[in-house]
Amino acid sequence: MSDATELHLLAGAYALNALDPDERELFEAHLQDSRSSQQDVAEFQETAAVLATAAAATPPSSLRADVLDEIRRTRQQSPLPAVASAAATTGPTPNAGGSSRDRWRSLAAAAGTTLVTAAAVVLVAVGAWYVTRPDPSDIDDSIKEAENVENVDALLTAPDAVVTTLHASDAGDASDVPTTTIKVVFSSERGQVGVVAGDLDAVDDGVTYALWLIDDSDAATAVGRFVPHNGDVSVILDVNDAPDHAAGWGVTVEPHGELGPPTPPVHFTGTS
Amino acid sequence: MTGMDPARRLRPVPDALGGEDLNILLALVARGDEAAFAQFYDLTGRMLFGVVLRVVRNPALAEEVTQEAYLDIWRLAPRFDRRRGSARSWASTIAHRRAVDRVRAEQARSAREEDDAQRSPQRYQPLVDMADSRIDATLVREALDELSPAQRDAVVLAYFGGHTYREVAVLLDVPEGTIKTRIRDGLIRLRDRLGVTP
Repeated sequence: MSDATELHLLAGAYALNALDPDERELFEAHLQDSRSSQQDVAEFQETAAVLATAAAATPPSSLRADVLDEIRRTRQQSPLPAVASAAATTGPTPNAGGSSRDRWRSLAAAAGTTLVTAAAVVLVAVGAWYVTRPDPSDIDDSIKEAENVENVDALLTAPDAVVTTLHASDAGDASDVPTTTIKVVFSSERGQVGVVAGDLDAVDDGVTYALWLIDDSDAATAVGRFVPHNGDVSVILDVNDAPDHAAGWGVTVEPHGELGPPTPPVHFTGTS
Repeated sequence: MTGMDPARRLRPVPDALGGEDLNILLALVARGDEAAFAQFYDLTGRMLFGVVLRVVRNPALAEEVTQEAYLDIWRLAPRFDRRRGSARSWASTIAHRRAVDRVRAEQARSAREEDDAQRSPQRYQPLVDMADSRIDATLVREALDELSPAQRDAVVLAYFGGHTYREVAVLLDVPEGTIKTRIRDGLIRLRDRLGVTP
């Protein structure tokens, strides 16, 4: 189930609420990036609603009073959620054109919950990315370091290069485990950012790490993707329309496809 | 019955439940309008209770689940986005998901209780009995009749049976991928037959 086409075929089962929770989650992540799946889901849910009308049955008369009584005592949710409630069942919001922006920190704080709803992150740039990975057979730590340095060297020589260390945002309770960090080297002038890390957890098929640039208003912009090879990462991503500086950086895990709003949890974060 | 001609029967479903009214009412509900919510209930109560009842089967349980669904509708109304679908679709998705979540939770619980005792084979109604329903029922029955029996079983077991497509695959003893496709193809046909637009 690593492939968007494969996921696309689940639109029908999704609209009928016929997916397991795991698959539902996967599909909802996919939905954020796929216009055609959004369209299918909308139409299929509409079709299902017609099936529902055909099943109509008169409820007990007491139900109406009970329901009305209960809602009077129930607060409604905010129309502008940072994170969708699991009960918001109709699937993720398609990108709405970026009129508003998700607050990165509220997202970071909401780590562990389901989906970012809206759309709201403005997608300024999705950089092409490349990995320079030598034959893994001759890697030891020192060589690895050297290669990383070599790789990112060009960026470090940029006069405006800024290095930021990203820390795991939730180290959990395993405080005795050495914490993995990610180094980010950003040059606005070159419009490039280097990402260097070792000992990163592998990611599943169908997802990659994604780097987000956080601006002064805490809005996150997608920069690009990277995948660790044997835990190591050494990549340079292009930052289109690079801002003068980044307030910070974040790393999430995202399904394949166009990068939409960041998917919680935020795995690494750091401020410049 | 299975002769397919997409152009033949493309007609809109009579909007017996006042689809546009529902969209407007839900927008009012989103602002906390209790009277609008009561009207919304009056226009959707039979549909939502009906589909929940179809899935959970037990009327007392259906009442409880329908109440939960309406509470969701009230709470989440501020997040309803018309661009993503109609109020009718949104509400019925919420109610249906509440229903399937409930039967799956029950299923998991009773499976645990039974421990490893032999599980009784799952029972299901092979086809929907729509005797109770109103104007849409005839259209829907006709549309369902035009599906291949295999597609119809897959859609009906998933939607009204509240089964996941994996469960449907087990029930019908066909590969999961096949069920996935049957559900999808069945819905495409239904959509085209019923002239459904979001």
